[in-house]
Amino acid sequence: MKFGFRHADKFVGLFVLIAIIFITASVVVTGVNQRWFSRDYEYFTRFRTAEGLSVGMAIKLRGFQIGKVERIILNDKNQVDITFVIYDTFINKVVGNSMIELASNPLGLGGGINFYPGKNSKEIIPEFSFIPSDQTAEGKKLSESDLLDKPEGQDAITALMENVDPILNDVDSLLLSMTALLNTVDSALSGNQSSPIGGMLLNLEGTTQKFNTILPVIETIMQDVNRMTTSLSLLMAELEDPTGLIPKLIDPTGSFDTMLNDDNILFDQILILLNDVHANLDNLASITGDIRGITPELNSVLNEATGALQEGGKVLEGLSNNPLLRKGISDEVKASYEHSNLREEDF
Amino acid sequence: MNWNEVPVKLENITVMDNRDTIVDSVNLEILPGKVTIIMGTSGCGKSTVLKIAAGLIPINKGSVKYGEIKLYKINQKDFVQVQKHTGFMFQDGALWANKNIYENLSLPLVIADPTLKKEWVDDQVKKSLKSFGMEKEMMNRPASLSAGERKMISFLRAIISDPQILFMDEPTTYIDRKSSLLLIKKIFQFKKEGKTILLVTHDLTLAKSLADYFVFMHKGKIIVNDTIDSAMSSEDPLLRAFMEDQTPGEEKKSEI
Amino acid sequence: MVESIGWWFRNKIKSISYAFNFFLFLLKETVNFPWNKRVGFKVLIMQIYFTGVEALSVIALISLGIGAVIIIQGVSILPMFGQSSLMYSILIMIITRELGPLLTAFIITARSGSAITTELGNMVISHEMEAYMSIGLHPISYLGVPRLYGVVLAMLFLNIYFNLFGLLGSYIVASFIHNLPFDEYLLNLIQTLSFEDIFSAFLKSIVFGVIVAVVSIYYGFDVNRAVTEVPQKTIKSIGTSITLCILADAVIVILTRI
Repeated sequence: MKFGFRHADKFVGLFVLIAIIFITASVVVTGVNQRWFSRDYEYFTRFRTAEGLSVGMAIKLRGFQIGKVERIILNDKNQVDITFVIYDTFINKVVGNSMIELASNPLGLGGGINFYPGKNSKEIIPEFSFIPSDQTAEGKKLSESDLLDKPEGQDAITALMENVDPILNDVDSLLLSMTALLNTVDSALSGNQSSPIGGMLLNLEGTTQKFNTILPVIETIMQDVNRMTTSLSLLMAELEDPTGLIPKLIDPTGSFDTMLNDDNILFDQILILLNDVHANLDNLASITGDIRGITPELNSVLNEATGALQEGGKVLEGLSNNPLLRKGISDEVKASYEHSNLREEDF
Repeated sequence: MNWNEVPVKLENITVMDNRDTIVDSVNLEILPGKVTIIMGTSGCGKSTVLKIAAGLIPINKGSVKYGEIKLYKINQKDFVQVQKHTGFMFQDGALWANKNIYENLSLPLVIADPTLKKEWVDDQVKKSLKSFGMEKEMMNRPASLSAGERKMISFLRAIISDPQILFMDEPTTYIDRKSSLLLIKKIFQFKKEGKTILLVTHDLTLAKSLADYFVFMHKGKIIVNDTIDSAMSSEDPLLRAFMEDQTPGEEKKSEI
Repeated sequence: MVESIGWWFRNKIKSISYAFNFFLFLLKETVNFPWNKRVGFKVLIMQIYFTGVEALSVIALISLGIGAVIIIQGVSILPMFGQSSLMYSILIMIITRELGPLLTAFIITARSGSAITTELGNMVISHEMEAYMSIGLHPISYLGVPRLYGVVLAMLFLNIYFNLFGLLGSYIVASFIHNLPFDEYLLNLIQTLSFEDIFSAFLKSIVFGVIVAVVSIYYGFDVNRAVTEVPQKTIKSIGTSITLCILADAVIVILTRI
């Protein structure tokens, strides 16, 4: 008799045993994977529409799946009632002031439901309770309050916006520099600096030349502006000095006195100078208009600077028409500066 | 029910193989405690009738009755009860090739009564093998036996559970003279015990000495059905012609 | 001419009704089998041995090969489309859901289905069936049912082994060619494998097992008297088994995917 025949019983036994062990293991592992042995906690929420919702949809908390949608029904009031479950391992996240939000992907690649736990509560919401969605009034209120533990930048658009933010910050700093520039002009009025506006203009001319020669290199401009800002901050410090500019300004024998009592000769000169600055800036605007296609934000910044200088002019005018000094501020004649908003640009 | 007294009745039996009629409207009563012998030319359907009487092959028409029991209408359980009291010896042995001789002989006992003790079954098998001097073959497979030996085992298998109704298909062919005599002696003993026997043979001498009733078949039909004495003196031309062909010594040749 | 068409048609109807009755009887006896004391479990054990244990090496070889090929192809091609994780779905789909049960059924048909038809056919010719009848054993219950059980169980277990070798064994083969961490592989596989996959594989194994067993047993008993019928019926039994398995596969796929 063949060896196999003699021990057929043993072979068959082993054959069956190994197969049963393997299949049992597979079923158990699959069962654990499909959460057969875990308890799920049921809650419900409400949406305006079932658009983008589906049964079995994952409910996520910061990217972790913590539950799934069980049922979607249209109730008597034509609202969409969603029953969902939260897995037992995440049940301690379901605390007071929690909210549900439908996050749809702008590219149409699926989406999901986000769960935001409440911030200040430690109390777990009992099963079968209502958890507001962002489409309910209650949810909107929660969303606006800071009771919600909602991280920034959840979807693609937000992520994109986060990238835009640094650019806007750069623009901000540029504007600050420009404001500082005005302060320089302002301080020049004190007469304490030797031909301060001329120096300023030279500076500006240099800057314009730089624009023409190395247009795409915005950084260089920034450096220039920064350099100006540094010098300006020094001047600002001088302005704040109690023994410095201000006392001199209000000193009856000081600059103002000279300015006010010379039949507007000095003042007219300053105005002429400012008009020159204006014209220069107009030129600058037209130059930057040419390079707008390449650096739209720069153009916008320069326009802002022109506007700021105009404001500076108004300040000066205000100074001369000071109630103490007779005239008051004259009506603004709106110059048609090319001003384009950064956001409106197609890029 | 006393199976010694149960008559076996074949009523209007027809068996077809495709469009050929093998057995044609056969009516036959096998009386209890008697030996009925069926004879006929090869292919006349005598073996078929024997198997139908034992309920072994399907029929197209008619019925087989064991007393009141309709053999082809009963359920599996009752069929087992009937088969417990019948034994069938096949022409070619029909031993189960994948079982050894011991298993071939013990299976009818175990099937008839599953509660039997293994020792008793072993003893019974050994005893029956010993009566034919074949005990050394007990653990062999049928393939290692000669045709004659297989036939002997088939006979032992038919009688091992001591049935009251015996069907035998050519019991003495292929068997050597000594064993044949032994076997015939056994059949006579069964006759004396009052068992019902239906036997198909080509051996006219055996038929004459053993039979109570004689059935002659030709082309699927029963031509003569009478007591052996009446049959032997029958004037039926077909039977007469058959008798004349069956001169001693030639009966075996026709089978081979 | 008309008569012979009529006769042919009547015969066809008869044989279909016979086959159907045969199937019903076999099914009835199959249900009764566990309570039938007279039929030994030895036949069943031997059938599982012949059909299951002895076919294990063939199954192992085929599933190892297919599994390894899928892993190697998957690791090479799928990352190009950024769909590396699709490999596990493909593995489960092919090994567990589709090819596993079907290939196992084909192998069992070729090995055991043909053997069953031949064996039973030969038993009919040597009148062994009648011998069983003569002692009160119905050959369909005594010979058919344990074979049906044996084939169905062997199919089920072989399919499990096909998965074992195709999913885990093939990793070893593939790891010679590609560097794929085992824990990552196993974790992904477990996450991809669903209960539906296991159930589908089980259902298919049982259905294919029943088909192969019933068809081969039927054709075995269908042998009438001539030895020449045996190879003819065997060929028929293999052809019918394979055809019915593919049809059943299509039906199950449609039903489970609706």
